[in-house]
Amino acid sequence: MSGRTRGWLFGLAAILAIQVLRMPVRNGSAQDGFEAPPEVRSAVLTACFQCHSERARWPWYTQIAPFSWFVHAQVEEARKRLNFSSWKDYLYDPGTAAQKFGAINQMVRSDAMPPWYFRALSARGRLTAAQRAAIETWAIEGRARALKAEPN
Amino acid sequence: MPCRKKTILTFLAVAAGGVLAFSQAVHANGATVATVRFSGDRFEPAKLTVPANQPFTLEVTNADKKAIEFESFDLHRERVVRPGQTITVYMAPAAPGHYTFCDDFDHSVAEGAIEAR
Ligand code: HEC
Ligand SMILES: [Cu+2]
Repeated sequence: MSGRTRGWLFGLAAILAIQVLRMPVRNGSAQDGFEAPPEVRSAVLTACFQCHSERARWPWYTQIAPFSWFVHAQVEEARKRLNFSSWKDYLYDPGTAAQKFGAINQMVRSDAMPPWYFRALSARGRLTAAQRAAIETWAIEGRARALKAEPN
Repeated sequence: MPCRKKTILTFLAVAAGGVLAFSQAVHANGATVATVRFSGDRFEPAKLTVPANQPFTLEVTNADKKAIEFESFDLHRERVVRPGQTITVYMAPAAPGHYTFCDDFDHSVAEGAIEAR
């Protein structure tokens, strides 16, 4: 066996071996309590739910180690900070709702969300200008409403 | 022990337990109010106990000179608290369990915990 072939075989074996620790994205049992005007809801469902919800559906090839490790870590961090499956619970505390609405507006307006790699790799991440505007308006209004309920 | 005496003792024990369990302030609307104060880079008390399966409110006072972000990833709450400010955080009924909170602006601050039971 040439050194080159041995190298390839070793690489293949290593990739197979790490599949033991694949860490696929799993969804919790939380309900999807996210309510918003239809155009906002559909845009968020398409562009945000993959990371920010318990309703993530990643294609199989993203669930192969080592890519799956990256995806898994991103989804964990994203859900911790903003989980649309916990949306109703955020609304229960107007102060928290105001912050979440504010952060959404800021992230979408500044093009920080969805993340650049997601926009590059998936058509789901590429929102139209109209979709972005709908999310921003909804977030600005939601924040104003929440602040009226709990000025702080 | 005579039956009657036993009944009285049981009643007293239950009453005492009830008083202890709800020694936090109780609002007119019946919701428990727990309080936590931030100063000198730490939360005081670091551990709070609230009744499980009931809504409660948490009053967070920032007595420090810098802003904090009171954040509980477990209870889905995130609130900036400016220096000198007291905020009211509304909490939905929580299942019995242990929930943590932190200052999301400064992770060197020790985490606090809310025990629902
Ligand atoms: C590919 C995964 C992914 C997608 C898709 C995604 N996000 Fe994120 N998002 C993250 C990660 C990871 C973080 C946490 C780290 C960071 O802030 O960069 C985050 C953070 C955020 C935050 C900050 C929350 C806070 O309060 O700290 C907001 C707001 C947000 N995202 C909104 C959105 C919105 C709105 C969409 C859809 C338009 C979206 N994200 C799509 C991964 C994603
Ligand atoms: Cu935060």
